[in-house]
Amino acid sequence: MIWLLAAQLVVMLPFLFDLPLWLLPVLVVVAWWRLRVLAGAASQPGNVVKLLLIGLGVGGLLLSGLRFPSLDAMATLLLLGFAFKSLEVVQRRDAIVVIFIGYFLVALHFLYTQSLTAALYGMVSMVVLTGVLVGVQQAITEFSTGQSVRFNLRLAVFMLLQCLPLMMVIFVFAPRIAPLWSIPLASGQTQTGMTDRMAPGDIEKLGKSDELAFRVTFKGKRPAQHELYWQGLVLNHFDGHEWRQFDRDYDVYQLKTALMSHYRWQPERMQVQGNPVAYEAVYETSGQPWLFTLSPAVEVEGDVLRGADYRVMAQEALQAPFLLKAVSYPATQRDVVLPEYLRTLALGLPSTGDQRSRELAQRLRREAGSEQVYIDKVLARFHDLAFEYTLNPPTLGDKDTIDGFLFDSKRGFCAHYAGSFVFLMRAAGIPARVVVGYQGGEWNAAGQYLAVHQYDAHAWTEVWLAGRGWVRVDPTTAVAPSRVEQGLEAAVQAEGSFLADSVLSARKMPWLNGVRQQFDAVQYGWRRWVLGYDREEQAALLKSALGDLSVGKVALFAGGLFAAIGLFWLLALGMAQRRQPEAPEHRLYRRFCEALAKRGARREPGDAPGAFAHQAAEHLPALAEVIREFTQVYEGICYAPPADGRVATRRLKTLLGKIR
Amino acid sequence: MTTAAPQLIQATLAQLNKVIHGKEQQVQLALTCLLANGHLLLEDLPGMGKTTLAHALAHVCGLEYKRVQFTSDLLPADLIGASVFEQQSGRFRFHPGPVFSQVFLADELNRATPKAQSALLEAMEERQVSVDGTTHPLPAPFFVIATQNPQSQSGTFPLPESQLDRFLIRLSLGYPNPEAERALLKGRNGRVLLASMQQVLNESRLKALQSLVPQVKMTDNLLDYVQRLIAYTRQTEVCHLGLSPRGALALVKSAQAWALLQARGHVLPEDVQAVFVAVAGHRIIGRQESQGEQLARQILGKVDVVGGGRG
Amino acid sequence: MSSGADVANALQAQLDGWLRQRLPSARATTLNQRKIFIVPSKTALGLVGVIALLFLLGINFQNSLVYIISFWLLALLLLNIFYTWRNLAGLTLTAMGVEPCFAGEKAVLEVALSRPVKQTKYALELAWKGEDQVQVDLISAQTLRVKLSHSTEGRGYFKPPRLQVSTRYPTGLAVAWSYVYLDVQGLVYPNPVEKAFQPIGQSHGGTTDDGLEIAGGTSDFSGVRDYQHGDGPKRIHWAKFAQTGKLYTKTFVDYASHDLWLDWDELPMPGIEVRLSHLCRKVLDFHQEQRQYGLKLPGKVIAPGKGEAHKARCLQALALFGVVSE
Repeated sequence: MIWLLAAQLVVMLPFLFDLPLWLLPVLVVVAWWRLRVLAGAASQPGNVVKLLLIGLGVGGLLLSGLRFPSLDAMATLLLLGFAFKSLEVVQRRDAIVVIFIGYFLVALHFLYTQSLTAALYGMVSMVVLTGVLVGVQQAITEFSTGQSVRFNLRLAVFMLLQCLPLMMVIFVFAPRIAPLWSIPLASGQTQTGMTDRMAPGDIEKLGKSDELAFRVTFKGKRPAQHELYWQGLVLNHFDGHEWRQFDRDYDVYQLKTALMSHYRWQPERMQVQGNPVAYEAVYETSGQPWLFTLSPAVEVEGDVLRGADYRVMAQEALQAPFLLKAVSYPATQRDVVLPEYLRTLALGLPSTGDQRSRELAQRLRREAGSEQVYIDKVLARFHDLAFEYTLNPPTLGDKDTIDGFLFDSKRGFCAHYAGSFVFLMRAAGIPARVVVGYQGGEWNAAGQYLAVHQYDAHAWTEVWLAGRGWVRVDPTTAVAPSRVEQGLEAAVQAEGSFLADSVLSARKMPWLNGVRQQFDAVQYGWRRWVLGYDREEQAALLKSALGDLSVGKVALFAGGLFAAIGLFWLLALGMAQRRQPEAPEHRLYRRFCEALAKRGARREPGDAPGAFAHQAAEHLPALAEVIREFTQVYEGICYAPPADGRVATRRLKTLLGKIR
Repeated sequence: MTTAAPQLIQATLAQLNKVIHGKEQQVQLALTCLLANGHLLLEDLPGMGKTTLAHALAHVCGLEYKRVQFTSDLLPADLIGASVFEQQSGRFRFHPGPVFSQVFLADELNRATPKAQSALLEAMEERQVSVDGTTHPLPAPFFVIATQNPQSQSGTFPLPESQLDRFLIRLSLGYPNPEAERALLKGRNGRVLLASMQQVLNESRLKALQSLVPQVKMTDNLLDYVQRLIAYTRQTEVCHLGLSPRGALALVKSAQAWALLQARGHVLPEDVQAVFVAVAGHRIIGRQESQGEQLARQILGKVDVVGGGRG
Repeated sequence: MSSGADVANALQAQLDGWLRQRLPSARATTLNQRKIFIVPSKTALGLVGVIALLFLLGINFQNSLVYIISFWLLALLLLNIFYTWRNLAGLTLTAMGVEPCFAGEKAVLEVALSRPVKQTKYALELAWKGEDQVQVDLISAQTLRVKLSHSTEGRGYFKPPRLQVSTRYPTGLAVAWSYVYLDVQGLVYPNPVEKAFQPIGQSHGGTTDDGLEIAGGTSDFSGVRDYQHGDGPKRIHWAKFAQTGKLYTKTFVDYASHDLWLDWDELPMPGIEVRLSHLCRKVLDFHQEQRQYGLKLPGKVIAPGKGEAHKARCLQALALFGVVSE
């Protein structure tokens, strides 16, 4: 039973990272109590104590502010029950209940994380639980405790491994149904990555993280590195300090409504042209609905929302890795005719503040002949006045941040450049907006994919020009062209600030890069093919394997695989009735006896070979010589082993041939 | 010595057969028992030549020989000896009994009381005698040949099953064949012929022969067969009492000695079969009323000689 | 009610007949595909519930790994059936026989279980419903003997009813079982009465109850005689030596038993079973006293003798008196 407790701990351990901390001491106390019971030092808790414990648990649950119904609440409740159950495990039945809940919890944990490591850990948990299940069912008296634990675990490993092929077949063929109802996944899921607002300093924070944001596989040619602008959100509204999407904050549902009404995607507003770029992206769990594509994504596969700003967005905040297939045409002209609503959004500025910048804009615009010249002048200004690109810009205060950057500090990250550039455009009456997303990515040659990390986060701008629609302008390139060509690491190399805070990062050890990339490639495969296997994938796979998807054909195919696995099990487990193999000499001797019996010399079971040979030789004088020699050789093999038994066995065969 | 062993054995058998006419099988078994260093039980009606065989065996081996006729008033002390009061010295001195000999013939063992029987059987088992707290080792080799009348005869104390187990081999000579009987009637008396026997073996030669017995090879195939036999006797439906591990050991040892007698370096199933009835007959008790010997013969007929896996 | 019971009985009989046909009785039976039945256990139903829940969870959260756990458990459930089945398949049961017993006592069947050379078997359960059950593993041992007891009613032959061999190994998610009819029978001796009727067993013309005296014995003191050379020191009558200065030797006698007869016709009481019970008691008593005795039954005489085998013979005769042998 102590192994049951051990298995429980194995199952509960990973939850500690995701669930309320007060659970930890509760579990420890329960485990400690259980150990004392097992050691005989304490008795099973009485009913009063049990009720008290349950009350405490439920109370803790209510107090910890978990939302009902939610995954967290369910998991916490299950864990509590799981732990408390161990206090009253007295019979085999109780133990089995605990083990079954354990199986459930192993699966439940995958709702929190689906990483490769978590999956491997889940496998270990499965083995331990199955081993304990075997152990609970029967005690083998011949084994010591240690022996039986080792034996049971080994058996569990074998059984689970043998299950894998069948599991995979079911995995591939089992019908995927759309969710029946929806349970809010998390009460307080952490959000990572890009947010829907941008204040000076926000993107720098991302720039210091080497977490993965998403991975992309290209179906055709990979665009050049400086073409890889992964658009996430468009920020239209500036309040003097912070850039946001709209003049007020929308929650997910309001945003959805907007994306379906006035801010909806209108494909007729773009003129598709140029070469397509087809790709598949797998986004990491971010807790946010944003997806990142090369703008504009003309064809998109998957259940997503799209907006008037050519964004692609998930229906829900991502609680699990998300797969998207898209085809983008980067050369497409967007919004050649700009709707009034969007124009207003793209020109809005706070009524006051940043006076110096406004004046600068008006002056420059006057001097410039056209909008294009004006844009070039602004960009040239960044370059000529020796603006500095840095991960550690000075703080700018709350007011007149654009002025502070443009005239005083002149040091900033992409957000500073993008924000001030758009400000200057709008101040000069040119529609412009900030775009946030990621730029570039790291090419993984092992896995043939592009890995985009948080430090690839970037902000750039779009300017609307008559006759051309929205044109992408990245003011950062004016100060630090290497940021776009080679990435952030190269751009801030002189400064030495790249990932300065993560001392232990594997990135700091170039010699580990190969290993890191390999590992990353495996993880990507995992994401792409295992986690991303959904209804569409299933249909595509079956289609490519079977041609069409008639029910009969799929059933036949699946049935065939089932049968093959069943047969494999039969063979692998030696279930086909295998008789105890008899040594070849005995087999030959039996055939010898059969041959003689046909001629009338029958051997009784109790007749020794020598005695029988004597009898048979008398009965069949013609064969006497052969019979005698055969018997002699056979006796030799059986009772006085010769140096080379194989030669003797061959001799037996020859002699047998003579008799037949 | 090794090369001479077959010749020695042949010579010994020749001498014995001269005296015991027409009983080659039994004579060989008796010698087998001697070579396997076990004790022999001869069970027959009076006058079948039991005593002659015992005499002949002792004689041909050149061993010291004593004979005691067991009667109902035989005391243990009459066998193993006693401390005797010597009036001159006023002290007790141990006078060894007839059991202190290399070949001891216990004639009509089942006529003595259980107490006397036990005394002998204990001496046989332990190969030593304890009298008044002192232990006296028996000579080596120590070979007991006991004869007994069939149990149905009146006035006997049959040996308990547990004590029969002490005898390696039980034999009965049976009536002589007509030819031998004719010779006997013509005056070819075994007892008279004893005097003309040559002594072929001596103590050291016998010991050397005995030491060869364990070296006779037994393969796994053979042991498989032996185990099949033993397992069969242990089926409760066949036997009331199966072959004990000691019995199994006796079977193997006897088969080795028999193989040596046939001048073979390895044991064949025939060897096992040859000794099986004599070794197992008195150790197993059948469910039905059949005698142990009959049962042993049935078992031999039923257990397959051939078979077994490899590895 | 009676008609319902009749139908049930008829069904039971039909089922038994079918089972017998499928599982003919033999001394040794090797369990093979045809003989093994297998069904999922109640525990398996529980696991099916867990699997279903996980499947729902997988659907709702569109989580591949949850699907995987659910399918993995399903595969385990299926694979386990093979394992459980294999744990029974190839097992050979050989009836070693039934120990004789007295009526009303438990008859003990001895069965040898042996496994195929390359397999090991675990947690095999042999059972007679409501009577006895035993669990064994065949791991290091190739063959193991197991004893099971079954109550008996009357004397005669005891034929063991069908024996259930089952296993839930390894995970308890499936139960495999088979019924074995073993073709053995055991003797059931008559139930011995508590105390035997006294006059029975009077010797035929005997003198004393103890039998004939045998001089020179060792058991009972009988007198003193002059010392003879060779008499042991334990037998010297030292008290007399002290008085007279002469050595005397104590003598002892043993008693040779004479033959006792247990005779059916001499019994005064009526009734076959009562008489047999009395004779049974007497056989046991005489055996314990190590006496020589014979048995006379109508149509059967067993000559006097002693020892285990003789006792067994006598008891067998009593057990099978009037029983038609098969």
